[in-house]
Amino acid sequence: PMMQGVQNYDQIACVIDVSAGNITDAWIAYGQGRFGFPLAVGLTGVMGADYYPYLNSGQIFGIMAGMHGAAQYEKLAENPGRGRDGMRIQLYAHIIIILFIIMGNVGYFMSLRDRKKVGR
Amino acid sequence: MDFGTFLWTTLAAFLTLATFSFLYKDNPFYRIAEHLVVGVSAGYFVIILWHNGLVPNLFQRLADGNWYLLWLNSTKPWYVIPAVLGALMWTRFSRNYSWVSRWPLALYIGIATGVAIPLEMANRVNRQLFATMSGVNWDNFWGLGFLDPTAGFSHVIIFIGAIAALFYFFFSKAHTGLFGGIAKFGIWILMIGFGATFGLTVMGRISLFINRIQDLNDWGVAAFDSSNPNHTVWFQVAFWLLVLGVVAYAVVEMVRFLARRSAATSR
Repeated sequence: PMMQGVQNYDQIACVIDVSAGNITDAWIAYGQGRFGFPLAVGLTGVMGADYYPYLNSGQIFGIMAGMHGAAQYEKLAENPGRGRDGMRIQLYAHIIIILFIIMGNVGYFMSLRDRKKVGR
Repeated sequence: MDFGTFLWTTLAAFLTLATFSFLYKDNPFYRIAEHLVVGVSAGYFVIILWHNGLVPNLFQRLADGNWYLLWLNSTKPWYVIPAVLGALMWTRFSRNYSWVSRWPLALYIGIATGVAIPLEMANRVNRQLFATMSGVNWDNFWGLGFLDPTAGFSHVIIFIGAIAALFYFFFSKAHTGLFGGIAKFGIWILMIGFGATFGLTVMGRISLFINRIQDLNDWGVAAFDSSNPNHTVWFQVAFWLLVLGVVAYAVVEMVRFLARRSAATSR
């Protein structure tokens, strides 16, 4: 077994947690917080914003959030793959969503103006 | 390609499309996918719990004892106590004996709280406070640009933003005048943070969708590209069966719609 002979965190150089759930909280609180080993995390995009404060505080030394993080890692490792391919598509999807948000806000403010006119 | 790989990739493609069919409306294909994911998740979780939780932490520790002596002859018979307490939690489902479950639940909550609260305070509160109160990097104040987290300018923004956000949550004073202005700035900081979370959430959902479309593309390529090493005629059969299923459902929906409209018209 891979962990045979490993008794405690003194024998581990660093921990890299790649997960999509709440286990990352446990690694930070019960692992790194208690025993002080270097910890890096690979997360889903949704979780990324919640864990950047830990990067800034030094509790983790690296973070790889979502497809963006995967693309950055592929660039770092010079091993292009699905992450970088996906980011090209992400760009267009995000542009469309930003356009929809702008359209929604323009529509909202126009309807406010119309309501004010009707109110007068 | 072996039949097993073909079967699972086709099933994945079918379930992906079945889940997306909810965009039209609730339908039997979506229901199949939904119930399948709930059932498989529950079953998988039970197996993980059994093999990673109960077997190494309970049954292996009591393995040197005998079940007909209730493992009391084991070298570690005290493991029977948490086993019994865990079993008593199931009395929660009984109308007459649900009070029994409060005892193991109280013990569980007490231990979990005692372990969790100091660590959560230390890691989520204290360490974050220390990081927020760290000194400003005056030597590298502007850094590489506006969004350089190591620059002194970023430290100033973080510090002011944290104080302003805390001002917003102080409700013992009315948010008027200078106090109100700082609280309003705090709201803006909070909204920027929520916007970042929203943006990352959107990115996460889009990336899941992109991954699904990439898998569907790979499946389609295997189905129709004869030069692909994974190509097999069974993919094409499965594809046309899927199309047939969707067309049949569409026809049934159309017939029902027309029947409802004619019934409404005849009234």
